[in-house]
Amino acid sequence: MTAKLTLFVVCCTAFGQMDTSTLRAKYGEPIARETFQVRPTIEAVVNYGTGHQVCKIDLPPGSYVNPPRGASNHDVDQVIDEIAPPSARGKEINKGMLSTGRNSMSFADYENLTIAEPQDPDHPGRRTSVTITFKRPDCH
Amino acid sequence: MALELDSATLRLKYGEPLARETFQVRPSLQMIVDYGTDRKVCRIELPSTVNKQQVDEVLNELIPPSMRGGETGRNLWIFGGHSMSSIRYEHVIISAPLESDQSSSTPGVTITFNRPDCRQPDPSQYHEA
Repeated sequence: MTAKLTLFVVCCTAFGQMDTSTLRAKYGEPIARETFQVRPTIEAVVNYGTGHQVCKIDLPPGSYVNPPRGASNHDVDQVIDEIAPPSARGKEINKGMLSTGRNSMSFADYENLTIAEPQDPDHPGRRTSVTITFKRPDCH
Repeated sequence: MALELDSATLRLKYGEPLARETFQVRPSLQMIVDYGTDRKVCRIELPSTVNKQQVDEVLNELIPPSMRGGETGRNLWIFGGHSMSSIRYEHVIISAPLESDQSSSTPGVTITFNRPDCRQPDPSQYHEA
């Protein structure tokens, strides 16, 4: 009975202890990345460089991919403009579409950042995800 | 001049980030972890697009079968073009796309912990400055 109780305590203590310290001990420090809820249905995944300066922001496919339940294209554009206001992007260098086989990606390249959006070949025109990459030497 | 945007600016605009961390668990495998209270793990997600053997290895490393508790049920969901299966244990639920459905738009393997403080994030709690 005592042995069974001890086993139960050890098992349940170990189970309850899976926390951020346990994971750090196993896998090291997490990646310099944070996720912000920027709208009820839009998350922004932010990757940092040195000094916690932003290097890359992803708006991953979430419910905004499937309107009307999710956010509209207008909401997504609004978030992009909030994060990277047109006035702060610098001069537009290039804009277009890159294609490899069935996959394609629209992009707009500015002096200070690049905005890219992969296109869904099965649903032309449907928004999938957005990546904003900042051009700084410490961002690789 | 490069556009400067940092963590503090984003916090002012959108509030605190989600209680989420990403670990590099293998050279080509990242694991996303969502926490509940006291930074205890509530949910772990592994991508579906890497090899299954590697995902199983990490899964067993994190939650060995002996820690999952007894199996309490199995489910299969088919929605649109995707299908997911899940196995419910006393302490965790492990969900994974069916092997025939490993597209990049499919959620990966998810381990959800059965604890009262683990609940889905409430999107209405977002903050906008």
